[in-house]
Amino acid sequence: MLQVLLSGLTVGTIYGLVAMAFAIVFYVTKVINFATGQLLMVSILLVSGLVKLGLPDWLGIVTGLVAATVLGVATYFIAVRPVLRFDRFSFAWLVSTLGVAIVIQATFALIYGPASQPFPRGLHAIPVRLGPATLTVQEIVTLAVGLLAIVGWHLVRRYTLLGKLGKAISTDPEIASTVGANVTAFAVGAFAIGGFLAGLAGILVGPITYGNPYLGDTYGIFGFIALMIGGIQRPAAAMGGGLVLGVLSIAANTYIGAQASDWFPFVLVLLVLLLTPNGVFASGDQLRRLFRTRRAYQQGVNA
Amino acid sequence: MKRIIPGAVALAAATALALTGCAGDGGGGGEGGEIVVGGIAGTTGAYGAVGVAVINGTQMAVDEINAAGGIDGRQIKFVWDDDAADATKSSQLFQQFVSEGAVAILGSPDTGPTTAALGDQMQIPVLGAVDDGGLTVYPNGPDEPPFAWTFSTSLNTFAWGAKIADWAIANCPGGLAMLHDPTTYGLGGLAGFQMSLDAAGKDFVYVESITENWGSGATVNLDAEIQKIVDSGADCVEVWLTPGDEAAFMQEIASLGLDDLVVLGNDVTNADATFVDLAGPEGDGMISALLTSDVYPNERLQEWQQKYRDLFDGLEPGPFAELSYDAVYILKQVIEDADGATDPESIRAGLNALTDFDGLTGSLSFTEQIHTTINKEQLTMVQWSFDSKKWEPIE
Amino acid sequence: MSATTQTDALVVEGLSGGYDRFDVVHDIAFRVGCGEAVALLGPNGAGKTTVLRAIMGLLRHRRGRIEIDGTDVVAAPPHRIARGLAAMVPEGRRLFVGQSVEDNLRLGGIRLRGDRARTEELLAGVFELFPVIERYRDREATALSGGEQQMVAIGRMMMADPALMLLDEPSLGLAPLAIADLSAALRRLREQDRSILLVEQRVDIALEVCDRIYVLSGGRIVDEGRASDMGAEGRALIDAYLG
Ligand SMILES: Nc1ncnc2c1ncn2[C@@H]1O[C@H](COP(=O)(O)OP(=O)(O)O)[C@@H](O)[C@H]1O
Ligand SMILES: [Mg+2]
Repeated sequence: MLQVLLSGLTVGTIYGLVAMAFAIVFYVTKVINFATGQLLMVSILLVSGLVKLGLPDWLGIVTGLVAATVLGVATYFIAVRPVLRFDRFSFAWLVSTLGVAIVIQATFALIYGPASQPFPRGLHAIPVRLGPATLTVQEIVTLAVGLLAIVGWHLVRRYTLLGKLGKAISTDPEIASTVGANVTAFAVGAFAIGGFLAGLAGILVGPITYGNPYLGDTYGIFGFIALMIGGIQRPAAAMGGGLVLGVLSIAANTYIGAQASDWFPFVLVLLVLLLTPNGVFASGDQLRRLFRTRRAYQQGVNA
Repeated sequence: MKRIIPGAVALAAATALALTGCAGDGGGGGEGGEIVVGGIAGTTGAYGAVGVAVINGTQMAVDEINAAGGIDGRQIKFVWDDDAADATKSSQLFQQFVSEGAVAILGSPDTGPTTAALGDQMQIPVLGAVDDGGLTVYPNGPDEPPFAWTFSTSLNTFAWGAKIADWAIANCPGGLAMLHDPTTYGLGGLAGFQMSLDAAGKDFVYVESITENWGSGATVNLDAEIQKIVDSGADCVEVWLTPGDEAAFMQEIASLGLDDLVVLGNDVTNADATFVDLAGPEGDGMISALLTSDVYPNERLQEWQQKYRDLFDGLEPGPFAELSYDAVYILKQVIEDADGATDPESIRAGLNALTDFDGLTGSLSFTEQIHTTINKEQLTMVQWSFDSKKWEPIE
Repeated sequence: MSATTQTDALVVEGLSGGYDRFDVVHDIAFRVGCGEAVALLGPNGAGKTTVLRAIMGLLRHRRGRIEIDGTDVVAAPPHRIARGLAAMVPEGRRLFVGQSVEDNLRLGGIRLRGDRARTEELLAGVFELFPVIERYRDREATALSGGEQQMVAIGRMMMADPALMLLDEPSLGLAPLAIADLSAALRRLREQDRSILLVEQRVDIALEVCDRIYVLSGGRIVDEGRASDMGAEGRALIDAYLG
């Protein structure tokens, strides 16, 4: 039971970080960067490749994180800014960010070949017993990073003027620019943070999933599902969605059957979309409204 | 093996790469002209290395034969493309190559069920690395007839399953557990195990089917499964999964301190270096079976392997390259024995009568009932030694 | 070219601009002196909002000369113009949703975030002008009444302490009582010698608050004059323009 919960939270944190990467970019720019999963892959494969060339692990990790961040920003300038400049309400980023994803993936497949590459085990080699459950230090670090991300985001957003300005941009970029917000700078920042978080998720999951040029698909899709579960409007909720997805998937694997985690997330997301279209953490409003209409309906029936 | 591509991105990427592939420009074929041979293999995706080996091995044989004057004086024209492990793509390629006059289709190691079914439907011989034999060739189980037009020289899940099961029956008194991929690949392995277990009057203490990420290479979380295996009391576990998941499994049980659990692999565990690279020191002790010809390579195979490395920039050869090379020479012999006839029925008849062909992968034969060349008698049990960096024979 | 003197808060010359490359305002020229309040009147669709957006930098397609406090801003992005040159009360208020009254005000003054004392002073000034909203400082801004929201919007503009204040139809949609409060507040701003460009449909408010007026129709300036010179005929003329 404890093991299911802890394993689920660790896996969920990875999904949650990817979901947060999606959500922060969306928060500021209202764009979904479909290359987010590929940024995770880039950080993993760079670490694999550089360590293989003899660099120390930490240098590989720093390079991987920097590369994912830079590539996130590059995605903005190559695939997002041009199409939005042409038409602010265009949906061309759907295709252009997907195009970036394909190019990144094909490039890394060309350089690394299709086979998986080893990733330094590092802290994942050190197990820690927690009563009946066992985690590795890497997994504990992952949980801590997830907590830090969610708390950090909350503090910045709630208690700093910069965070409030970000929120203002999120709701009304035009008026935010008239009080002095450089909306482009914020967009660049959002893509940078998104790239960094995806890269960080890669570093954390690397010892478990190894490096492969096609990894971006799997983690991109699960991150996106986590985003839909948590709600796209709030990055902290996206992390929550990841945790819910992680715990319920592992629980489904344990208590329903080994293949449950294939279909279970999709059922979950469908349920969430039906019950609270803005995600489970969007706000209590949706649920309250749902029950209020039910009650009103019943009162109407009884009257 | 069957791979499942999970996302639109992978599909689109694979297609994009395929556009740069080497599809033929049509024409050719016909009596007296070139002999067109089609090739289908997944050369992209996380396990695309297998497809690359298939294409390389085939190309090597084709180039040799053409340089030596061709088949009965006719040059072979080898047309191939990447199916990206996608059944739709595979069936399109199949029909395209047939319309270009292909006398046989080689492959696919990734969409075998598709090429095998189309072979029967269009009455075109399908040869070589057709997935990993097993249920791909015998869709109704090992005791029922195979696809009439499919002749696999590929690794054979029935053979590996039965061979490894025999070893487990003798060496795992506490019981045997198995995790397997749910496609014909994993089910073929399961059928192989079941054959040996039934014969010995035994059964698994735990079996579970695990959906794998063949397309993206992402590992699957197996924590819950490991717990159930431990609870089942098994002292051996067969992990018939992707090399990545096999490696992750080894590392996970090392972290958990489950040092006594004996882990068994499958035919792809040692078909290339993916597993041993990923598993690192924790991969030590993994047990699987290998073609006896690869365990004790004869002089001819060693020379061939060196030639392969020279041709393909030091790429390590493996069984998929070897068995694909054999397939081309089998085709050559069959056509020559039929005095140059390349109509499908003559080729099929020739294949059904193939006896003791002297290939890199051993002495190879087909009959009406047996459409896989590799059986468990051609295999040797091996164990990975991290220290010697070798799969050491253990029998 | 007329010489720009330091007494002008805003000089607009030969301004044309619009949306999607179609001009909706043509060859506009007018000025706002330092400490002067000027009204831009005109019927619906005349182009008043478009002119304000051009000045604030929000209109992508704009040509001509726009000088605020001696700086040409015709090519500057809005966040640059917001650094002390101009601040705006946009049409329809557009307060920041999901943020408190105080946060809305502080966001208006974000350009002065390094100068805490000045920010607090400005905040006190806003609360002095609009004591009502001080009581609601922790409430969500968009939960306030229309009149109170307009006060927050004006306060947000004041927080930037800009050289030029732009107000786009602040009376729109307000109850008569709220309109009276509004025009009192605008008069007090005027008395503080702020330079103001006020877009209004309510001629009475414009004449009460402003020194001079321009009349915009069909995207062109068609009339101008001093508010104090506006006799009954003048008003009739404007009313005719306004339709
Ligand atoms: N975003 C826009 N896109 C295209 N045309 C617009 C837009 N906003 C305003 N217009 C047009 O520009 C003209 C002037 O509008 P506006 O400046 O809002 O007028 P006013 O503020 O005087 O009522 C109108 O004809 C209007 O239809
Ligand atoms: Mg207007």
